[in-house]
Amino acid sequence: MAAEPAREWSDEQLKSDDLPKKDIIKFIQDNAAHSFLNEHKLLGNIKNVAKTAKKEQLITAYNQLFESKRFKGTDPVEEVTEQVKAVKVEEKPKEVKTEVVDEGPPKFTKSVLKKGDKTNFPKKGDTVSCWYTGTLEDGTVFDTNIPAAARKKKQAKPLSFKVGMGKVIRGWDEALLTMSKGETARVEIEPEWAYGKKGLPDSKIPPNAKLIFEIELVSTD
Amino acid sequence: MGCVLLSPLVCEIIKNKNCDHCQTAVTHLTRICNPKELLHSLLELVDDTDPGAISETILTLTPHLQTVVLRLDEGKAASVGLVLSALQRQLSRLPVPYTRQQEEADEYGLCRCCAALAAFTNPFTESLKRENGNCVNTAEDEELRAELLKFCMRSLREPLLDAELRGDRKSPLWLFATEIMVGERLFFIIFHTVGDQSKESRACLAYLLFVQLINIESFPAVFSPVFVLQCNMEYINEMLSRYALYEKSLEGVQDNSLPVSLLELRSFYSVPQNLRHILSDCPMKHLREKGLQVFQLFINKLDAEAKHKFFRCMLKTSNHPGIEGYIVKNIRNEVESSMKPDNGNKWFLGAEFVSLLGLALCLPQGPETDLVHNMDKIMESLNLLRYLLLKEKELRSIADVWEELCRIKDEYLKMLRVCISISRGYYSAELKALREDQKIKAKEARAAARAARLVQKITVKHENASDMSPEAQQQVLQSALVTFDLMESLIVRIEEITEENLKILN
Repeated sequence: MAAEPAREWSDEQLKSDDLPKKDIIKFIQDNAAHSFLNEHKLLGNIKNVAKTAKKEQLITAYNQLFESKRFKGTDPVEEVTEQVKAVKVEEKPKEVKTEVVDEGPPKFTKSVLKKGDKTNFPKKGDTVSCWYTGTLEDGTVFDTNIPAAARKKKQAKPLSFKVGMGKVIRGWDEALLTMSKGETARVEIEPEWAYGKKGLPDSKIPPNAKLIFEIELVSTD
Repeated sequence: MGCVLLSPLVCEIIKNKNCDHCQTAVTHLTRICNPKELLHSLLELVDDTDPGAISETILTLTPHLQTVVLRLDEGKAASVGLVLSALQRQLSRLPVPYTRQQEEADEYGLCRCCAALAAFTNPFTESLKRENGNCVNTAEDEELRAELLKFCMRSLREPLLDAELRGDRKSPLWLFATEIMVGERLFFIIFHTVGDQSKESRACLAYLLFVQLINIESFPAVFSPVFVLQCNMEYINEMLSRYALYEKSLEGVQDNSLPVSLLELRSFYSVPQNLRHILSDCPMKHLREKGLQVFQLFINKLDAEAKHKFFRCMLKTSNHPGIEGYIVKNIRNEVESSMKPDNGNKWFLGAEFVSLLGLALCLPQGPETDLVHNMDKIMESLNLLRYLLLKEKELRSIADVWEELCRIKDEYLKMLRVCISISRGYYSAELKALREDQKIKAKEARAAARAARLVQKITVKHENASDMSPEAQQQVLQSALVTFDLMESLIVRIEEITEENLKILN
């Protein structure tokens, strides 16, 4: 078990404006037991914690930590948790979503038509390139970027964009993140994750339309 | 060698349109002389265009230029580029028609010249379409594509950006737009913020694509409406008073969906600010009225947090009581809609609402505020207060900031009462002075009339402190006093409701 950490800051120093909240949070996160952090609402990304916690709260927590001596490793469950953490792939700190978090079931379904390499999956922010055809439920093709079979257009290029950034309809963003390079899939998207109540009248998509796309993920960087 | 004949022949044709034998001679020359030399001579003629005969020159030379370029063995693409830019230089000197009548009359020939330029490009765009069939993609093709794109973008900027384009009447300039907007990947240009295409060109492209729906089939139906709005915002700024692109882009977005992070983008700050300027300063009523509709449409698309931030921004920066009043009305509507089940949020029903209320319920110059000038905002703020008090029971249970709201209310009403009594005192005094003045003047006039009967006619001068007649001044002062009465009666009503609520509680 690690030796008890030293108390770096005096009360004066803690109250001073020169000591940023982030430093106190970091110290407590580095040294306190998980249950302690949970009780004092100090878990998570330092930036976010800094937004919601007041300086006084942090000073109180800091002092309480040394009084209660609930440092890392003093939680009975802690050791196991640490080991599990070490095995997991390191996660990037999540950004707080500004949108309303939709807790409902995913509003799309995917069936794989051709398997991909199952290795190269796009991450949010990656640029992906796709060939696609979009149809309505009645079979009408409303859009495609695949050149007509009769003329092999050298000019035609797959559609490229940054995935997972809200540039495309949500059904696309969500579906593409589950696809691997080379995969072709049939994706059916409910209107809530497509063009919703308004539709896209100029592009022949009626209101409340469920959209069916056949998408081939050509590449992802 | 025959090229030396070109110049005098062409000049003759331009001067005298019916000079058939000159036309025949030129046509013959363009078929037999060296195309490179011909091109050089013809381009010189274009550059030397007489300002008084621009459209005649363009209309005369363009078909011949086409003949010559088609005869070239190599360097076609570069020549197409040279010809188009030379012709466009001259074209840009012509005034752009901006009414339907002007377009049909085409007095300066701009529309006919545009048609001529589109006709010039025809064989080249056709050849590119054909080339698509073969897998061979030469450097020449790429160069040609690039030149045609440059031509398209230049034309969008000038003359199309300034033209009144409406697809419903398929005017010559609208047809010109459809002819030049070829190329399936034109839409990429809208999304690119880098590149040498000017912002005006891209704005026009966005307008023609999304509003006039030219080539909309080439636009992928997978982009999210919010992303399209975001891309279009800087173009909307370029052509704000046209509203159409703004409206169209907003209509595709769901209500209450735009997040507050968007408001940090520069274009999302500029557009509403510029719109606000139109609302407060534009002398044309129909533009202000339409502008207000679009303003409200934008507000409707913001989510609760974004609305809160936007309202704060407008209340702080607009300095215009009409707009401020409009915002306060919106605040009232938001409180109402936030009280519906599942709609509750801290921005209009919680701690954050207090700061917004503080901005809505304030007198900019304290007790010396000009109540008449600020009437719109003050009346709306009193309406808001009355609403909040009528809903006290529900609000108390939802919002945990009722005490704060009451404190703000009390301070505001106290100051407002003081302000009203000061203003009333001032305006009453003015009115009294004006009436006294009138009486004195009437006496003087009667005296002067009596004197005039004895002496020659003297004209009695009206000395006005302002440009208004005394009657008009009286009206203004009286209506101000009525306004104060209105405000006070609202305050009384608000206090009545407060009393009633207290009784119910106890």
